[in-house]
Amino acid sequence: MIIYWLLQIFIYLIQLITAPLTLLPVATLSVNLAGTLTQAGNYLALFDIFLPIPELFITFGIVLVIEAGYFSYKVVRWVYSKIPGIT
Amino acid sequence: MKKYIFVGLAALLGIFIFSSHDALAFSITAPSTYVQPDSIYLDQNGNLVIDWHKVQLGFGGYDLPGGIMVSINGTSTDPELSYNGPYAGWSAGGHVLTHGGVGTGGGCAGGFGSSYAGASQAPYGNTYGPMSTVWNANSNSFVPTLSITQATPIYLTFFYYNGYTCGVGESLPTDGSTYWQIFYVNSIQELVQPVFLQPFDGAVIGQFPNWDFYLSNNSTSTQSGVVTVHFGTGPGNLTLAASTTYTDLPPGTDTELKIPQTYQFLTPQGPSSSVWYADLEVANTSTNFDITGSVISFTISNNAPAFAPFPNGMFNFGGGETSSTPANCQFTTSTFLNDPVGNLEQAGCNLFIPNTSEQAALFDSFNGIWGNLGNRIPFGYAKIIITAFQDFQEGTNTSTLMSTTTYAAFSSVLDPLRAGISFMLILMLGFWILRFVQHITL
Repeated sequence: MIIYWLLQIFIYLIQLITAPLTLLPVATLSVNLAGTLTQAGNYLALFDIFLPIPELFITFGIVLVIEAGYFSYKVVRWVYSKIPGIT
Repeated sequence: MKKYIFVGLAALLGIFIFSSHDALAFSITAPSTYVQPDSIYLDQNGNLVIDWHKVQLGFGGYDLPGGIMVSINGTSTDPELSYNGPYAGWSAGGHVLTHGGVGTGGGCAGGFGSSYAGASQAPYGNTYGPMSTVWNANSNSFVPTLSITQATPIYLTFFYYNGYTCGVGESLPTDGSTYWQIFYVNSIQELVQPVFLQPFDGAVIGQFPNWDFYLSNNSTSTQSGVVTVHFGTGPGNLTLAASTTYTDLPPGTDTELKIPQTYQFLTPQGPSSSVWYADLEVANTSTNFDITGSVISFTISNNAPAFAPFPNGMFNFGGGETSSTPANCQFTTSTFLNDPVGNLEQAGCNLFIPNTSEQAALFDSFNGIWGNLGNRIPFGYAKIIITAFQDFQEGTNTSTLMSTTTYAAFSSVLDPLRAGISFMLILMLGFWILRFVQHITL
C-alpha cells in the first residue's frame, strides 16, 4: 500500500511535469518526407548485412543528442546572461 | 574526432538526399504501395491473428485496406478462390477492417473513412483478428482455425473497401506485384501445452513409477480432454501408449498430472541400458483440438538411480513465456484469532508490497505517460524514424546484395565482422564521451 502510493505520487508528479508537452501537436510527416525515410531505410537495408546500421544510428543519435543538449545549455546560459542585473 | 563525426554525418546526409530523389518534386514516379503482414499466429485460444501494416509512398492521399480475405489450403492457380466463398457479400470469412482495428464480419463497416493524406498512419501495429474460422479452399467450407498448423499455407488478399456502394474495391498487393500471397503462421500459442517432467528429455533413469508432466492451460477458459503418452524404441516407432483424462484445468495455470507407468522397460533378460522415445498428445474431440508435443528420449539403465531430478530451467511455461510468481502476500487464509501471526505478517506485507492489480495499475499509468508523449513533437519524429528503420534485425537479412544462402555461407565471416564494427563504434563513442566530459566548460 505504502510503496504503491509512493509510486503513484511519483507518476502523478511526472504527469504534472510533462503535462505541457501533451499540448504539443502530434508529429506527422509529409508524404514526401515519410517516403524518403522509408526509401532511405530500404537503401540502408542493403548494407545491413555488412555494417551494423542500428548501432551506427544509435551512436550518431547519442552524439547528436549530447551535442544538441550542450548547445541548448549554452544558448540558455547566453540568454540568461543577457537579463539585466544578472552577471 | 569531430571531423570523423562530421564525415559520418555528411555520409548519412548524402544517403538521405540520395534516397530522397523519388520523393522530390522533380520526380513523377511514385513508389509502390503494398500491404504486408508483420506476423501471423494462432493465439492461446487457437484463433488466427494477423498483424499487418501498409507501406504508402509517393504523392497524394491513399486508402487504407478495407477488407482482408483469409483462405487456407488453396492453390496457386486459383488465388481468387474467395470469389466462390467468403468474397460474396462479405460473409463470415470476408472481414471488414476498420482503421487500426477490427471490424465486424459482414456488411459495411460503419464510420469507414476512405482517404487520408500523408504517409501511412500507424503503419505498424494493426491487428486483424482473432478469428475462429477461415475459408478452406479444398473443402469449400469454413473450418476452425484450430486446424491450422505451421505447415498450412494461408492465402491473404487485402482489399480496398468501397464505402459508397458497400462493396469490394481494388485489391492491394502484398509484395508490390501480386494481389495475394502465401504465408505461414509464425507461432502457435497452444491452448494446452504439455511438458514432460519425468522422464525428461535426455534423462538416464533406472525406472520410474509414473509418467509425470505439466499441462499449461494458456487459454482464458477451463479446459478438458484426454492426454496420451506415446512411447517406443524409436522416434518414429511410438507404438505403445498410456492415457488419462483431464477435466476443468483452470485458465492460465500449470497443472501437474501423472499416468501410472505399467510397462516393464527393463527386464532381467534385457540389455543393461536402452534408449526410449516418447511424446505427449493432448486432444479434445468436441473442439477438434489435438496437438502433440515434441518427442523426447530417455535412457533406462540398470546403474542409474530410480529417480532423476528434473533440471532447473529446462522448459518454459505459458507458450514460451517464463512463468512468474505474482508478488501477492498470502501468508494465511485463517482468521486473526486462529492465526494472529500469519495475519500480522500478511498485513505488514500488504502494507509495503503492491498486489497484482496495483502492479498492473502502476504499469498502465507509467506506460500511459509515454503513450501520451510518444506521438507528440518532438518525440513523435523519433518514433517515426525508428518505425521507418525498424526492419533492421540482425540475423534476418534479406538484402538484395546477397541471398540468404550466400549470407549463411559467409555468416562465419560477416557476423564477427559486424560484431567487431559494432564494438569499435561503441568504444569510439565511449572515448568521445570521455573526451567531451573532460573538455566541457560549463
